[in-house]
Amino acid sequence: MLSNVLKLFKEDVKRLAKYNILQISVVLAFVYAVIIYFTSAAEAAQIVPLLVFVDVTMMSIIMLGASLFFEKQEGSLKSVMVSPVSLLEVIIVKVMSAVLLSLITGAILSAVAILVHGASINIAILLLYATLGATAHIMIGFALVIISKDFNTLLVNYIFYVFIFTLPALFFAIGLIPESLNYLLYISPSYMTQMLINTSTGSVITIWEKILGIAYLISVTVVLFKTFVYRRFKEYIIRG
Amino acid sequence: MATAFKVEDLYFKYPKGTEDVIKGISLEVKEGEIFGLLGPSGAGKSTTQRILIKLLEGYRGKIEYFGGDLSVLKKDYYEEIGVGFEMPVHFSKLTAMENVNFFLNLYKNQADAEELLKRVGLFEDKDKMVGEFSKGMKVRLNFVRSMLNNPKVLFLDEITNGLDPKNARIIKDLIMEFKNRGGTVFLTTHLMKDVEELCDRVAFMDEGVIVETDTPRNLKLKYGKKEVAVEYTNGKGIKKEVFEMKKVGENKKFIDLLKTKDIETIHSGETELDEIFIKITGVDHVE
Repeated sequence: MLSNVLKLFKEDVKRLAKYNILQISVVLAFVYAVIIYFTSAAEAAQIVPLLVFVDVTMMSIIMLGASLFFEKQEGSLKSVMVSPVSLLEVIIVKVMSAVLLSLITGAILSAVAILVHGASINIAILLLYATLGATAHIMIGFALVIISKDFNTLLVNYIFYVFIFTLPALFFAIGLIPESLNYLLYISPSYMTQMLINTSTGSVITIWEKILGIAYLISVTVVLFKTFVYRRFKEYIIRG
Repeated sequence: MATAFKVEDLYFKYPKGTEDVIKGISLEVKEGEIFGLLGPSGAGKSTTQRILIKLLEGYRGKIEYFGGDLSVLKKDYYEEIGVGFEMPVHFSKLTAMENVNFFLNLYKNQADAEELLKRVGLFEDKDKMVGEFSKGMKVRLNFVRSMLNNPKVLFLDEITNGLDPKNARIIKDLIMEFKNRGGTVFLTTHLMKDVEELCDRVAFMDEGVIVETDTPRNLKLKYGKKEVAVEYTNGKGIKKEVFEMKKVGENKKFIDLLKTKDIETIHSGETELDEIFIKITGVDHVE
């Protein structure tokens, strides 16, 4: 299994570059980096986790959707499914590639903030929680792709998701939602991701919040994978 | 000769469907034969093929692959089968060679990909992006894709559709070579010329059931017109007379015609397979 995953992952990353998805992701990271460059050290420490959060919770879904719809359209996914690779291996590789894009963004932004402003960012923690949040959101992305008949429908479903789960987390981060209502956000995978990523720049949360956040993101990933994505992804690949 | 596939009482309903689209079909495909599945659009032949290549699960009934239960086979099954889809199935922004190498590296048993590309006339274009390929080139690349693992069983869906006669000939020759090496082929097509040239046996499928299975020759004998048409000149132009094949040698009018007239052509009445299909199913076109 490991050998297949590594082979497929290497080829998937090559294709991300061929299809310009990798380049778009890197360019976006550099745009973010320029913003960080022109901020103060204190602002950088706040903006980096916010931008990583946006990348992990929003960009990862769109990048995954673009890649899956393109490969479905050209029929290549169907051809992969009649090769000696399992569905699990295919899904793992797609998750790894999408997480890689988020990690590249996280690494570039942290490096700029630390090198330019000497910002205090725990890169290991940032990348660990970015991986956790990205994995959960990629699984959400898989679910949105599966229920969408084309890329336009995916965008509509994605906007619904963002309005319900991601924007409230963003509004909370910039103070538009009062602190007293934060418990309502506990159902949002995006909020949990944000809460955990923020700890990389010194934000303090209780141990229970940390456990809850980690457990929730893992649960979202596992439950979506086992009950929906694994069962329906093959059907998505071969339908129409 | 072993049985490659034995399908017994197969039923299938799509998850969102209200009724079965495959309604209790049974068939056997022998090792080393070319088996053709024909039918109109929506007959269930693509669904049947998708079940046999394990893209669709959740069927009822029994399918055996060389005596073993197909439903328990995992990804190693794909080491033994090759699938040639009708629609393009390649990464359009990769070159033909990059595509071939990607799929080739997934198999333990690897064919000589360059030789295959040469055989189908794509070697010169191996470094071109597949997105720039014509439909015919994509179809030929699909065939190469299906042969990359030196399969035991080949599933081909409308494999010569969109090819010019020369390239269709090349693909048909490769299919025959594959069969002559002992390979088994499961073919779905609407091109009756391909069926007559390639298939050892065919099954006609309509509305989820198999209505007839036999060799193309037997089907022609069973449903053909069994007549002899004679064209001759009688001074005023060409005339045609048709006689029943049965005891034609004892038919006085026929014998007289041969003796007294200037015969231009004599043909036995051979009904085409698509006419037979219409006769059996009542459907007026085969897809």
